[in-house]
Amino acid sequence: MWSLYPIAVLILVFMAYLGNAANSGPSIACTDPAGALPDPWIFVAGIVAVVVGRLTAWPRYQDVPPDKLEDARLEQPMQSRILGALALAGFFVAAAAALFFEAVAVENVGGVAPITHYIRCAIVYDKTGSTHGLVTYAVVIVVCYLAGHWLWSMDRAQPSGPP
Amino acid sequence: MSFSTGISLVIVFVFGMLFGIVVLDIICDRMGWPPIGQRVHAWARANVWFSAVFLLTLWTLLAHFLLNPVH
Repeated sequence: MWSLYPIAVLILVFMAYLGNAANSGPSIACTDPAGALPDPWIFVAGIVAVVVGRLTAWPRYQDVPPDKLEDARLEQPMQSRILGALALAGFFVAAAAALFFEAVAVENVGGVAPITHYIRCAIVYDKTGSTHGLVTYAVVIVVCYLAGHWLWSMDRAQPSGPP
Repeated sequence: MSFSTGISLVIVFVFGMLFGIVVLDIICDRMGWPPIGQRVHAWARANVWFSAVFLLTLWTLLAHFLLNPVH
């Protein structure tokens, strides 16, 4: 599936561009005089993306007879299972690191603010900057679409092993 | 930590996770293994309540970030 390579490059380019743009932002305080937040419309866009993700999963994942499910799991090679386990471990390590940072910030150690504050500031500066909130919409829609697509499946089954 | 650094770290974290998923999907595709989406989908079907809690957590975080003002 060659179409994944441009997506990977695109994500890296966006990460570099946005990270660089954020570095030219505020360094002392984060304020929202324009009232960019709260914004219920981005929240609604996220909910709609979850539902669309659920609906678009229906034609993709086809029915598989229950007796074939176990066969498909057994056919998976050991390397594939190891990769799934490593991916899951990586996810938990990242989540644990984020929670550790949050705990340190909430305890007000080291002069860092909670992650929530940085995320809200990023949204405010995206909405009030030259991108007019498009990056926030894009990230919320992509994450919510994937969540609806993968976690809120239609009533169908497909062959797969454990993650 | 300055706010610009914090915002940059948030961007790197979010886009880094998305990049990692794409890289894993590329590896799975090259090796002929089930893609990440299919694995998560299978897990969600087998653990409906866990996946429901994940989705509720996502919605709660979304509301927490978007439906509150900057203090």
